[in-house]
Amino acid sequence: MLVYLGTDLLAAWGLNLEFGVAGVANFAYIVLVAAGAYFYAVFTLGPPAAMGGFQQYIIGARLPVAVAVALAALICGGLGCLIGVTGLKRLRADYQAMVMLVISILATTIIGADTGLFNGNAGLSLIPNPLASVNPAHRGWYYVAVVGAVCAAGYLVLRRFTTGPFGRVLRAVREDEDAAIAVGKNVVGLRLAVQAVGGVYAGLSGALLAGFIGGWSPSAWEYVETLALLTAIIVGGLGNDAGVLLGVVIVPVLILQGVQFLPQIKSAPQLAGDLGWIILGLLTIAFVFARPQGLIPERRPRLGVPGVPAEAGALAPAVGTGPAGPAPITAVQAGAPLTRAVPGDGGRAPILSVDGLVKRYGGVRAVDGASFTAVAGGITGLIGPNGAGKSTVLGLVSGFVRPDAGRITFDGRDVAALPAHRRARFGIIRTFQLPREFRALTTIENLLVAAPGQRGESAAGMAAGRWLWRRDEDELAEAARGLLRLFGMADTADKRAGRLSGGQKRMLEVMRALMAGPRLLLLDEPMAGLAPALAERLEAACRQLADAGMSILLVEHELGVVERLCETVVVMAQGKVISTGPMAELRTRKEVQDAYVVG
Amino acid sequence: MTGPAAEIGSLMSGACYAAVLDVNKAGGVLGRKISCALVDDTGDPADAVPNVTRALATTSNLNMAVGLESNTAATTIPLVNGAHIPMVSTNGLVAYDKTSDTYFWRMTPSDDQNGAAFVAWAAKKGHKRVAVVFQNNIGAQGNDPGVVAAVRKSGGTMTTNITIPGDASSYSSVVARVIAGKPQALILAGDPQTSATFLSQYRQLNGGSVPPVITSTDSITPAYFSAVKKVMGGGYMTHSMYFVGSYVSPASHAFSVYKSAVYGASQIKDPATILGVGVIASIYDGINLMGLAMQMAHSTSGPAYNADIAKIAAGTPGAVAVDSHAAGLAALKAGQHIHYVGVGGPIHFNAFHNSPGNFSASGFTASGGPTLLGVIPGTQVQQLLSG
Amino acid sequence: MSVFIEAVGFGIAAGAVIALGAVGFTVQFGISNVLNITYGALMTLAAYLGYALLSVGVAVWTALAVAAAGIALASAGLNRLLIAPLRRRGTGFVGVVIVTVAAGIIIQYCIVAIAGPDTVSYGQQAGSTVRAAGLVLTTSQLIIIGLTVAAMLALHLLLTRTQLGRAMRATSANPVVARSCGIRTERIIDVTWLISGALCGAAGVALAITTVTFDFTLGPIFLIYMIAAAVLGGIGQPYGAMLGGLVVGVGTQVAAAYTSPAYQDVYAFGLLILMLLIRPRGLLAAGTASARRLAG
Repeated sequence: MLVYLGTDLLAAWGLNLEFGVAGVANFAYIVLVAAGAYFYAVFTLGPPAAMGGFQQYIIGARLPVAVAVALAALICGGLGCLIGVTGLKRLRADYQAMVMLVISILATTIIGADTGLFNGNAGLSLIPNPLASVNPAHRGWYYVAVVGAVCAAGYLVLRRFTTGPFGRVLRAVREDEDAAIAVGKNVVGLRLAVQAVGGVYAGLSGALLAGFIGGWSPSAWEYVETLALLTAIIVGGLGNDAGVLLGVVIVPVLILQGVQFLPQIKSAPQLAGDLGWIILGLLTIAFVFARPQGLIPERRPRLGVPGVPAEAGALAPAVGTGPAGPAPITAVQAGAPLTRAVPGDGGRAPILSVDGLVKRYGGVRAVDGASFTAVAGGITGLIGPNGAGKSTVLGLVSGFVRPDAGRITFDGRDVAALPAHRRARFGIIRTFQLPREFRALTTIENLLVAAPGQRGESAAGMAAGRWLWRRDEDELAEAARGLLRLFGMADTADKRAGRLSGGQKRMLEVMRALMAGPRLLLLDEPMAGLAPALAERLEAACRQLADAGMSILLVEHELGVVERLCETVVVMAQGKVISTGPMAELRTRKEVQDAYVVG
Repeated sequence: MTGPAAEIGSLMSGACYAAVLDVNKAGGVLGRKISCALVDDTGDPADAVPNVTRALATTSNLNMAVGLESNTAATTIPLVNGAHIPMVSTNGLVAYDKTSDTYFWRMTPSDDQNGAAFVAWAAKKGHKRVAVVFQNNIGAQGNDPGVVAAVRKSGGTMTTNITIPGDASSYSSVVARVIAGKPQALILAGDPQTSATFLSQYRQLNGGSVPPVITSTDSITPAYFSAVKKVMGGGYMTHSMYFVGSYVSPASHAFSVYKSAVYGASQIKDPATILGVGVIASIYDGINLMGLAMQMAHSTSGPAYNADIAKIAAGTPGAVAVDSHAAGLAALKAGQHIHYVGVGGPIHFNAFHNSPGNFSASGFTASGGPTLLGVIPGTQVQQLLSG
Repeated sequence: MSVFIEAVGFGIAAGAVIALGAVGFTVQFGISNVLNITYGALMTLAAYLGYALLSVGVAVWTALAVAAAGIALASAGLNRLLIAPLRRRGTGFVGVVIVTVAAGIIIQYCIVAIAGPDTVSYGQQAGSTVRAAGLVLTTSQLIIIGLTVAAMLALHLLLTRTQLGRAMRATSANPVVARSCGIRTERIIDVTWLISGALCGAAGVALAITTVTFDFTLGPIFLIYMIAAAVLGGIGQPYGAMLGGLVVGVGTQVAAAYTSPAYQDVYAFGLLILMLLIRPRGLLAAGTASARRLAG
């Protein structure tokens, strides 16, 4: 029983990393556990003929058990990656769940039918016990010790993935994939990495299980077992490793095993087992309904400045002369992320030039041969009536929308073929029209996650541990706190972003973009629906950023703001650029007036 | 017991109740009453191991084990063997044709021997052209090699040899392939649902006629009867279905003792079916045999009495033949050597503790009970498998 | 060649049952945006409901109608009591999927607890065999094919020609906008679940007629075929589900006629995964305009 607890725990941790932390709903997870068991079996078993010839299987390498366990875990990591490739298509979450479901049924069908692979439905038997040399009378307890040790090691390794900057970026991906891409996170790569690691845990779990049982067959890994693991995670607490431990104790162990201790009903001996599954189903539903965060919810670290005076929250009339002290942008620049903002060189060379951009949706040409440039170190406005294609242009420039034709040159480089996160790393950072905060992360974490090139997110950072990235993290936190003070939101630092007000979320959207080290900031209607005081603060911040050399492309409906901020304004209508020039001049042009009347 | 083999498993527990009734009526083993402890293997090795381990650890005076079916045998037998508890297994794994497990005994054939017996029965009925259709589950995957080897050896023709998925909604294309081969008999192994769906579609596509079916005695159950009868009709059930498996001799005295015990045990719901399945009788025989061996060794400890199982089964020169626990007990108390001949006939354990014995072919009665139709000598089956 | 034509005929018969369920599934998924795994368990429930009715002497097609009505109510109830409240709370797609899986498991094991794990049988309901142009079909298969075509046509007309249908499509495309246009989206979703539940119930009984004998795992196994059909045809499109059902049915039967039948499902599911990865919007969704053309 304790062995099962341990192996279930390993599997549940792996799945929690995928689903609870990174948001990958891997309904095929049990296939990976099964694969671990099968590969352990065929690596440790000798050639089929030498083992009596009664079962057929591939490989039969008779490897030492430790090697077999390691190989099985690695193969499952690879398989996890392979399953993860199906996520490359960026399908909606429930489509992905569907793919996983089908993969798991497909695997069952193939393995059951193909007797040459793993002996079909009969399964494999006589799988060597890793502790064959230990006296069978004590072997059980030794096995518990081994599994316990693996679990303990597994936990320590797991913490490297689920805590710190890496865990933070995974959670960001879980909360909002697009927003993570917008700040330069390689979401596909992260997912693959997570599924590989999850696969390794599944493989370990399966290998240890098969070694203990001594046999493995398709009836041991029906797809409902995935539900048992999911329930364990949901009950224990999504994204919380300790919660998962509790969940595993409750669900597979107490409920599914526990029902067998109920008094047997003679007329229907299978009733106890059925009851177990019914309880499991009810429990799942009850928790999703009443306590989706689980018994032990995910915890977030407190990173706000202890005892920050409320003054930061007071609305300073003009940024820069407010209590933040020195010119805010230099204060921010003191932190790592913003140093890439190039000071204006006065040359007014375009940092972005767009040429003949086309995007069709079905038969509609949303963007129809748009060409314009945005100057370095200044604010370029992009205006036009509803449906003119402004937001699509923003999507095209930032890489979220694939162009059908046209060139996008950023800082002398053609970026049209690059994926969105790569463009973000070059410094093209967008905001979203509707704020897309990482809800379950705190406000300050939302900012920290955006910072580029964090060592704590790298493989090296995880291997080395805290000491490598602690200093970076402290500096980033300081920069983030500076930014929060600048926008008057210091007191919300440790609040979950999902709980912020609408206006605060908009500010957060801009702050997060700034934290990502933009060289060209794409703002998508940042002022819409903002309280006048906040809008004023944002406008001032934009001006200061531009003065400090930041290039900004601003999509905005409020023409007054555009006129005050932008030297050059691009006007779009029906997918085409119809006019370019200073706002005051544009107001007089007929084509612009016509467009607005028609629009 | 539950799981894929639930039906046959619950019948097997009946054999235990019957044997316990007989043994206790005769005074128990070494003067002590015995009882049945059922362990659920759920058909899943991952569940079977903890359940068996728990039973081994918590059941005091656990001195013999029976059953241990194919689904989980390979994982449970090592546990029981490791605990030095003699067992009479009914599993069909070919692996246990040659085992070195000291405490393992089997009085029933392995799956490939069963498969060969299917072919022997088809030949006996004059069916030279057989179609082989197996569901891709455990037992059927085990039968197939035996069938193939036996058809080749017997000079018959296998019109089709096809593996089908279980519980599919339509087998029409497969059925059309099988019909195209014009078989005289179908060797069809599958669960009740798969068999019923397959046969009903066979009937639809073949103008209402279906050749006789030969399958394993594992299927001679009420569930199979009710599932197939609804689509094939009563006449087909009683005249065209043959269930081949381990032999029981209904004419022997041993059988009449067994029969009265099966009818006498209060826990048994379906005595008729239990009596018709040889595999179940081997459990009854096994308990008698092990009980007498304990008596003979004056010990309930496995290592002490294990060797006596073989001695009582083989008999020494001058030993008294006994066919019930009561008779054996009396003879032992009288200081005689005994030779146990059970419901399944004489037991000849080979070097690997296997005694496959003879084979029987049974059919359904109109009410769904089993009835013996003929005997296939074990030697004939072994011959079909040799070379 | 005759083997091929025969297999195609079997495929059409098998595909019709798949399509009947898939038409309901695709409309439900398409309009309410819920991947409802409980659908399979509800089919099983329908089959057992039909069995209970048959055993008290009700005619099989009447049983089908009653089961359809019963499952329609159960389906609408499931939405009202479970799914709609979850959506209101903003539970994500995956959370809802997990809940439907759990609900399916509950229904499935409740059926076992009540009806037992043994197989039950409808008996021979196939009717007489009809042979035409190399195809071999039974009358009950013909009725099921007719039922499927009728259901598909009715749904298609409902979606494209009626006020209710337009409201349903609007709800599918954007529930928020639909609500602001005065469409009572909750009511629309209720109706959708009612309709798809009726089709689910009909398909459950039709499936039981085809397989003759079944147990509590009937629906969940079959669900994968229906998902395959719905995805192949493009989620939300009744015609697509019909086409998908035929592709899956004919594909598996032709595969079973020429290769090892043990792998017939592997082809169907492999095709599904490929489809999901290459063209997740389905065969018919070559842009909405052409889809509309193909569908109309």
